[in-house]
Amino acid sequence: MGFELKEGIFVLDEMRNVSIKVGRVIEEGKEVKEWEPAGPTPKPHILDLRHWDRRLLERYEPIYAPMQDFCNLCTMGPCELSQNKEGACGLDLRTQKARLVTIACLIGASAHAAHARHLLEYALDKFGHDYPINLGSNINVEAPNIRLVCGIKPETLGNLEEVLDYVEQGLVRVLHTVHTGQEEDYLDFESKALEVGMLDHVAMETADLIQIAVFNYPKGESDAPLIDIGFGVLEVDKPVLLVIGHNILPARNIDDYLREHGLEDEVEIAGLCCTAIDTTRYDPKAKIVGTLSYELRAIRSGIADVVVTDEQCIRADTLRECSKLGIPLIASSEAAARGLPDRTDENPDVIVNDLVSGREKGVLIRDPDKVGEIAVRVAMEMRRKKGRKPAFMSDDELKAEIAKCTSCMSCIFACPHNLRVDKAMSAAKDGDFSVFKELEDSCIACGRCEQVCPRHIRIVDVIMKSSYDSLVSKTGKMRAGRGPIQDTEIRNVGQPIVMGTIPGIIAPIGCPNYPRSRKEVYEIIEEFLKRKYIVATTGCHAMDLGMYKDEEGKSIYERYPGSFDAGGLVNCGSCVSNPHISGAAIKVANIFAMRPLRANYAEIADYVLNRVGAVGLAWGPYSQKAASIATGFNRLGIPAVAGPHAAKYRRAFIGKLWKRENWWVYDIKSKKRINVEPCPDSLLVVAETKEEAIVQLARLCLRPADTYMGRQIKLTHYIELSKKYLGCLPDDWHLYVRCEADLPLKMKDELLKILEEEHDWKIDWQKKKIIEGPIRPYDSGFNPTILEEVFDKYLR
Amino acid sequence: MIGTKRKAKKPPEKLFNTADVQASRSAMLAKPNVLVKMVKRAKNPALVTGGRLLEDRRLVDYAVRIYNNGIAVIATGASSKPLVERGIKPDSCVFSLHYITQFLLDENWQGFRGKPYDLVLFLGFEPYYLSRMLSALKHFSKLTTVSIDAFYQPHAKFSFPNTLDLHSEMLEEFVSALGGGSVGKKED
Repeated sequence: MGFELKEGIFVLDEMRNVSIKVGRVIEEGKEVKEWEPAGPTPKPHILDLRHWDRRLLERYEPIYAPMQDFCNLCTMGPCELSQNKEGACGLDLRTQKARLVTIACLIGASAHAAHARHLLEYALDKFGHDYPINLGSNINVEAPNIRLVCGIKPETLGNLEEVLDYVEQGLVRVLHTVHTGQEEDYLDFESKALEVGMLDHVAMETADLIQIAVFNYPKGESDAPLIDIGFGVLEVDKPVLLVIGHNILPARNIDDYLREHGLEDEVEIAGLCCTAIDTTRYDPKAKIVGTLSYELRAIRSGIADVVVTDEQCIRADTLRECSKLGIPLIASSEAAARGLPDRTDENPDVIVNDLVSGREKGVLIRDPDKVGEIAVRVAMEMRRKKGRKPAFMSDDELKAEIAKCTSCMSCIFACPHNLRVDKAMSAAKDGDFSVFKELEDSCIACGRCEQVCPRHIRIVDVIMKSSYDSLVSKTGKMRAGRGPIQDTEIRNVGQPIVMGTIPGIIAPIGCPNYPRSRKEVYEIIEEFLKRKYIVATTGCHAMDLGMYKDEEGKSIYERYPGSFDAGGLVNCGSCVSNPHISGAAIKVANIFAMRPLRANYAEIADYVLNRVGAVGLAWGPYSQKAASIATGFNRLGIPAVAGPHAAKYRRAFIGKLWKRENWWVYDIKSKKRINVEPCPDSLLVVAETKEEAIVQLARLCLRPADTYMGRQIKLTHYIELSKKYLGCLPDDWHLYVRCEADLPLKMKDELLKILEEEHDWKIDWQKKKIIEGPIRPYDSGFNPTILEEVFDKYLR
Repeated sequence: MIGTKRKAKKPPEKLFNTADVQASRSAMLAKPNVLVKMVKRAKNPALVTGGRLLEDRRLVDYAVRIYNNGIAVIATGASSKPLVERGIKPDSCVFSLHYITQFLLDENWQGFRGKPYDLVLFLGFEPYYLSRMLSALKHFSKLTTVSIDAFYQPHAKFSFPNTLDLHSEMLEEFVSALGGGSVGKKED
């Protein structure tokens, strides 16, 4: 016989022939406590938040920019879908693009979810299910995304299993829908992409919580240590161990091995990409070479004695590149075995010997604890045996490479930025290397130029060598990733953020596929820090921000405090730290506004959309993870401005200002549905230059619930920035004026005149008051929502 | 030899990104004199300008001359400053190409000045960014799109060929041929 017992405690006595299916085991006396009444959507199923998505998508209409106009995913095709034709399965081009966007988000979210699962399995094995998640006395809301989406308050590592089970099931459910013959509505695909983005933030939050809890990373301290960053910070006289990727486990064990054996001053551990960030959260003495765009440069420079890869955003030619220079490679992730032999269970002495002797180009070692020992020993043996490598290219080799160029221009048409390598080559032939030096800052060192060069010129090396002095002398400082925003900080800034007197939160996040100089991120962000916006950053942007110094030699992290406050620059950490930024917005709704958090996604997202002036900046997006992260922010009501390469994601969400019928809210105070100003006017949009991005960021911080004081401050920045960078008043500034008090003080008379003369508004000049014209009048008790259920809930 | 001016080289006939391939039609090459006729026939043509105007003053000069021929200029936020400084009054100055494309895709949109655009020229954009926006307009609108940029844009309806260092020469030919005339003055 078999029967199912509901959750609870049971005495199983004198029962025979009974089969029992055991789910989660709850020890007696450890029942889950009710910490907050559950909201309407605990662990939302694939359609549970569809109504919220539809509300967003009605206003922020998707715009599709196809990369291809055909589909070849099934054997009925390939099908030409141009001009929105339907393929053999019935899917049209628009819906196919929405499907592809959903797939891209699935890829990104799966990377984070698998990363989190790997960390969790490791942590459970080493620290046990009951290991507490304790972020200190200043952080009670330890997992805002998990609480909001899953309705779970994770207190121990074991609690996170249920969270990841939910995420993984959710991802599979959406993956199911992208099979041929499922959805036929592009908005339903977009809803699923938004679902995946939300799940991604839960997965990332899980991953970072685990790291912070068990590896004792900073727990929201604003004075996290300053970390050395840049090629120039490496002590290359020591053996150099280069770690690349996103998963801390092997790098952490390398660091442990060094410390346990007293070798921390003997061997240099340096990182690239998010592994670098997380290694420095674990050990501030570790160093950072740079972002993803430095991978090829770092390997080819020959600085490494051994390279250790883990997962995500690692070049797929890493083994080939290392092998050319005789650098042994240790792969450590199931996600990137690199064709290498699995030597996990073998004697470390034998593995070290094989790598140092060159019998093996590389090995796969799946046990991160074992990687620590082997990597350090190989690095030291390699240096002892082979000494320091000569410079990667001599002056004579440089001249010889340049002399090969025939200016055929093939490289220009392969370069993602269409950089004029031919002109730089031409100038270099005349002894002028300045053009190459300028090129270096825009080059992402992808190597596509070398693939097409008919003369097989080592173009990346030529660019590196031509700017070698500036490249190897690059040094900077980055504040270590501090993880979450403290509840106490939210209490301090919640009100000014919602009122608008702190003009906004700018979140530079994502990858280094920048349109031009990587310095632009720094320039954009400094503009907002000077204006007392809050800046919260993660990932490659966090690293690149630290690469530049002012005249006094100070990095931006040394000039601005690390607190989540006006004019503060918060580095939350690596890619998986992004949910601390979405979490901060959630916490504003929960801690400041007392909105219930548990399993209450739509209401909180609605709150954020209407009140929290937070905007993401992904100036160099490249990966599917970036697509998924941005989509997760979007579902929470947080818009993002992206660099021009983001147009290749194929889809964005842009509102149409002239469609008055799209811009409305329910006002709980007046109990009416009313038209509002179009803010924010998009959820995801591309800017082409830093100037354009700066102005868009300022505009996207506007929210319907701004007080007049907040609106005045936000409009002042918007107008000032537009005048500074665009040379004119923005076209749409008048749409955001509700009353004369909204106007920037210094420009009040001038703007009132323009409103009267160019927009036919009626002005009482004696009182300097607006009589007629705005979309709606200002009301201090205005309480907006775009959800019927929230409107009904708070109507008294 | 330093200082010797080399003659501009004719670029190869390749896509600006050799992998930016679609199954549907590629842009027809637009000769300057033919393009002038098309523009003059249009009811409400417009020029959309991009961020390369910040780096290349020659592009600003050509945009100003096109504007002076009666063609509306939609300056993206990336390009408005040098144009405004030259006295142009663009139809809009703050929106990015992404917004403008979204607006153009809506057949109910009446333009920034109450009259829909029927032929749109694009000048001064990052090629990969413009390519995506032209792809959107190719597949989801009936608008006539024309790229007068330095790289051939396959997803426009009409495009200059790859010109690169010869771009100014081609623009000069186009703008000179545009001359005065009654561009953009016609009524339905």
